[in-house]
Amino acid sequence: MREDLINRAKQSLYWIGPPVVVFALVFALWEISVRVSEIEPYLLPPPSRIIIEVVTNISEYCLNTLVTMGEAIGGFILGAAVAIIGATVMYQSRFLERGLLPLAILIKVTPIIAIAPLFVIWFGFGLLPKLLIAAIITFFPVLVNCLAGMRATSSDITDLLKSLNASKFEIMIKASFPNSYPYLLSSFKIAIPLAVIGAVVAEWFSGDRGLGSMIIRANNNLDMPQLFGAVFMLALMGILLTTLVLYIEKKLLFWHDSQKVENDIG
Amino acid sequence: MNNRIEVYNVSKSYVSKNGVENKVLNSVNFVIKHSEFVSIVGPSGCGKTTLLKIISGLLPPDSGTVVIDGDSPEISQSKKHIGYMFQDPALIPWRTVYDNIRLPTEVNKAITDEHYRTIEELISLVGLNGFEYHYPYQLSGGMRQRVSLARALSINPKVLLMDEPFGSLDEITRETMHYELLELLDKTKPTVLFVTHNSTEAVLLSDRVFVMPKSAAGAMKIVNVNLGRTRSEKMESSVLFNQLVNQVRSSYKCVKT
Repeated sequence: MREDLINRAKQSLYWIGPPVVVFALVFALWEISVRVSEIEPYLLPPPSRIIIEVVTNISEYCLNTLVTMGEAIGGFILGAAVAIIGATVMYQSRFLERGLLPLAILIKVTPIIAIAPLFVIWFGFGLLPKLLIAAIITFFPVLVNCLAGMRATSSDITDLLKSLNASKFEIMIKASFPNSYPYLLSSFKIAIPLAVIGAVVAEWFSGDRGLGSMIIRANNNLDMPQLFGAVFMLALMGILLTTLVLYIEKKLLFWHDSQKVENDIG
Repeated sequence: MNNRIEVYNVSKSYVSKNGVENKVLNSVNFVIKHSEFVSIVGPSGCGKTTLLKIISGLLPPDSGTVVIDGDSPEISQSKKHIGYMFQDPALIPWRTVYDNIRLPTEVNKAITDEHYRTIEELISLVGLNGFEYHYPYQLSGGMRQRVSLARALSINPKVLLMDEPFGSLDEITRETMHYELLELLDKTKPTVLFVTHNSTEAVLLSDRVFVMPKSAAGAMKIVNVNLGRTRSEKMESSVLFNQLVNQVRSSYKCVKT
């Protein structure tokens, strides 16, 4: 029991130790160079100023972080759901794949910075344009990866199922779709930070809540500590969400090569 | 209930990317009797796997017919009469041993047979007691192939098609698997078509060995293995056994040139 606890502590230290050291060094270097070169705080504030700013206004920062995180997660779920449905439709036939892929690419290549103001005109200042922007930016990587994962199913397994006269639907449910999980999780790792960016960009054009709005306000007031504070919170959010995906990946893909560390006696 | 595999005048050719037609099977004919074990031996690329895919109905022949227990391959598929085993165990990595073996009974549910063996019985038949809830990545190569065998047998197939099932196993594991397979088939008695390029393996397991020609133009040679159904390790060193292996090997060489 005690040994187990020590092992766990060792394990956490193994993962948390290196990034903590790196960040501490970066911040120390930043702090020292700003102070030595006497750069004005309205150009580049030292990390200590930023941390004081965040701590003194912690409730405001937390509220805005939650708003942006909600938009990003909501948009991510919406975009991923549509992408997964799209991928399963495209998996049914090469015809549908050829037909729908250009549409998906069109959505992908349209710069969100260009359509964000348009969405404000169409959908107003509320939650909807933010969700949609985050969803659009999530859509493409999830779609492409989900489809690639389903197509990568072992032909031996599909042959086996076909030799038993399994229906197309059965083959998809039993083999192809679960086979795409590793690909899906990889795409989530890409899409989650993108969804956060989408939500922030959408906030630049509308609304007064969220970290994106905070950045715009700080920029207008030349309040650099606040601007950096918001960016810090965004970075923290990104780390939190990515860690969450990594955790889900570890639990869900225990069988996959990417998660294999030990247990392999083959 | 004759469980026969009948192949009449089956031909198949592939057209390669540069437009050249490549004939792999040219009017192949044979009949495999009820509960008979037949091996097909031949060099790589001679169409062994293609033949198995045609028999199982996964691939349509250009011409000719296949009859399994009186039905076409498509009907045999829908009745779940075909057991299939590959060189790769092809297990589903996110399913346990138990759930992998159960897979064939989960699909095409219109056909369920009260004669199906229970999963527990299959697990003990292939000697994997205690490993029911292990995942494929936790098993050795030989154990994975045992799961694959149990899975193929889970629907109590009338015919069992095996495509170099032991090809990727090490020598020691393969030797034990041979006798385990024979013992299992003695209990389940399906008709077996076994593809291999190992002459010794073919003679050890089979009632008859078909030697495929290297090119489709050649003729298939048949070697009868008159060793009786019970095989033993002692037999492997007998004169007759080695004569038969040499016979397979020489017809292999003879059709090759």
